[in-house]
Amino acid sequence: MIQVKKGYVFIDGGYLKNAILRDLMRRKDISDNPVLLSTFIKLFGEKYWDSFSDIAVSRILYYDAIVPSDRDPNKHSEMLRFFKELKFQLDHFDVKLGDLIPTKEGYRQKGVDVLISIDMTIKAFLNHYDVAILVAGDRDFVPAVNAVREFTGKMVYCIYAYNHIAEELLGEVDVHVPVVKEELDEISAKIK
Amino acid sequence: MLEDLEEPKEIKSYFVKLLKENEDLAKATIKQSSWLAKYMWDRKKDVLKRRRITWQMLMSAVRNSYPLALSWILDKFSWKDLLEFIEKQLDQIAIVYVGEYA
Repeated sequence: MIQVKKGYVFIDGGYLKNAILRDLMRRKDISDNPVLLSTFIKLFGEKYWDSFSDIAVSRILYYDAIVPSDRDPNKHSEMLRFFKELKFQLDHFDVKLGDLIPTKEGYRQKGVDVLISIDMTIKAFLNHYDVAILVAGDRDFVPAVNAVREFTGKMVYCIYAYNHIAEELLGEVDVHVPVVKEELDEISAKIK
Repeated sequence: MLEDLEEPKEIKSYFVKLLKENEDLAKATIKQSSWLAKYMWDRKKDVLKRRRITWQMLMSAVRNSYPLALSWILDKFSWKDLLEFIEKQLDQIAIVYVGEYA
């Protein structure tokens, strides 16, 4: 008899949009539309985190960044509407937001990695999950993954774009699940 | 199980119209999901019952497919792919509640 483990999915929204949707899948249009993005998350989840027969995913935590209201109130409101709509689309789904800071090249996320790391660690200590399924590829997550595994005994799986991944992160997680273009093409063909 | 269910084009047109007139009401109604579960249950009740799938299980599977149903209404997703997704949800639910492949 297989014991089903409780899984939480932690998604780095910037990584999902840039490394997976834009660079690997070539479908930036999906990340601009909350209905299409939530449809993608459903189909992507079916292929990846729902494919583990011994894990029941009970919550999906999506982390992204928003322009602070004091910098650009209109842009802030527009982005807030987007995230509100995204949350409405999906059940057992939460959106957590860091700041989006303007730079010479455009915008840069600030504080998102820290938000994910804190949540992943605290929720492990609070026994909210047995397995953290991290959709990310940055080496900044290494200390949090290390803490979760070493001090709580929980497992960490990593779902990542095969061409956008820090080796240091792969060296720390329990299970590696690379995302390859062929599987994304199947999803892409379904979303018009 | 569901693959031969005809696409309910009148329902789709109704929601397309409602989305233009009152987007919040349309999205709430679409998300509530009983319109789609009822369409399926009315036509496939016997097959579903034989597989020990109840109305509540069908509602869960359909509700869990909400963004895909909305994408179908917006012409961004096919009816065939929507049915395939719901059927996979039903398979999962059947394993959990019935304890075997129904």
